[in-house]
Amino acid sequence: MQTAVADIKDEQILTLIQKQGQQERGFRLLLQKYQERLYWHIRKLVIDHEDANDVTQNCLIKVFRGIQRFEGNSSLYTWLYRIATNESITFLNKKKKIGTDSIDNKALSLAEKLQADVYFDGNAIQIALQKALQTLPEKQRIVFQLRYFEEMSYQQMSEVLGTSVGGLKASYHHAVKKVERALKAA
Amino acid sequence: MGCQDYQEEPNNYYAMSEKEDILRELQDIAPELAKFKEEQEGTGFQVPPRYFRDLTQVVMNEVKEDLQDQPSSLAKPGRWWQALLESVQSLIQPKPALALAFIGLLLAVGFWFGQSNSALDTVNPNLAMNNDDLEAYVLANIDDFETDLLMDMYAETFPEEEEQITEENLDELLQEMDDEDFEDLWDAENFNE
Repeated sequence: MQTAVADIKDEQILTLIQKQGQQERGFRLLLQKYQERLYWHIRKLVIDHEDANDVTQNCLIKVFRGIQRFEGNSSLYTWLYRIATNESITFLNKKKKIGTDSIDNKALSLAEKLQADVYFDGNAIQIALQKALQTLPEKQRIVFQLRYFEEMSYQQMSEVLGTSVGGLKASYHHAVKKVERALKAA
Repeated sequence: MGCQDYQEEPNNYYAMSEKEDILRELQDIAPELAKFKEEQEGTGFQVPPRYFRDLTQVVMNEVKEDLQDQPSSLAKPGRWWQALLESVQSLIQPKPALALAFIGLLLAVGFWFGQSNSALDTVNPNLAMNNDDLEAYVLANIDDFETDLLMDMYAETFPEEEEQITEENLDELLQEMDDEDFEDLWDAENFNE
């Protein structure tokens, strides 16, 4: 079933969404094809499942409300990731305004949070990786995530983040070096 | 720690060629991290059982509500500017168009008066008249001053003058007035304010 949905072309989904009476069917297909990927992308940025659930729902509703204005200048895939990334950043910024944690405290509390999280089953190295990611500046963290976890090409990342390919390569290089150092130290 | 029913992130979304490129790049920059990436499967994050099925349902319920609330804007395919164009077209009917034109006219007049008043309120001090200018101005525009007014002004300003001013000798008196006389006359009537 999942393979069949993954094989459906974005153009077919968009055609259905723009056809009167077929919107629901088209959007359901879009969800089946992309919602998991978007959720995991958001989850790795916001960490907590409940937070990721809220952000993903908001993101998908925004996708539905905005899809009539999607003009196909970028691929549907990168457009969806752009919305998901922006929603996550907005959420994290709101959270940052409420909390006063320093980066070190944030990483420390993240480790405790992950160990107590029923929806996290990672080992010590995976926790160390998440801790290392928390010490990166926001932009580098997102670049690292899109390349390392989502395995996007630089061109796709450029469409998602609106940054030049050269800038992304530099950011990824810095981020990778920092994460490796942090993992060695752990 | 995790329950067996929990669903983990699959690792087969992505194209193989890009995967290989990314791994090669990582091996060049950070070989130990590359090794770690090859060895580690997933991130350790999980979701509750049937989470994505429920998520679809929750989102679709919201979508249905949206479609019911805004049938006109979402049911029709089209671009944002088409909706804007339709709104403008609906306004450009005979009666609304007249009303709009009238409101526009009122706004333009209001704006012009506002501009005029503000211009008067902010006279450039460099444009103030000196005595020569003042005299030249009065003589050049003497017809605009009412004779009776000028005679009254003269009598009030120069009460010591024996000669009574009349319409006949007004021109002659004005010619005899010097700068100081004009300035006194001007100050007396607060024209400078």
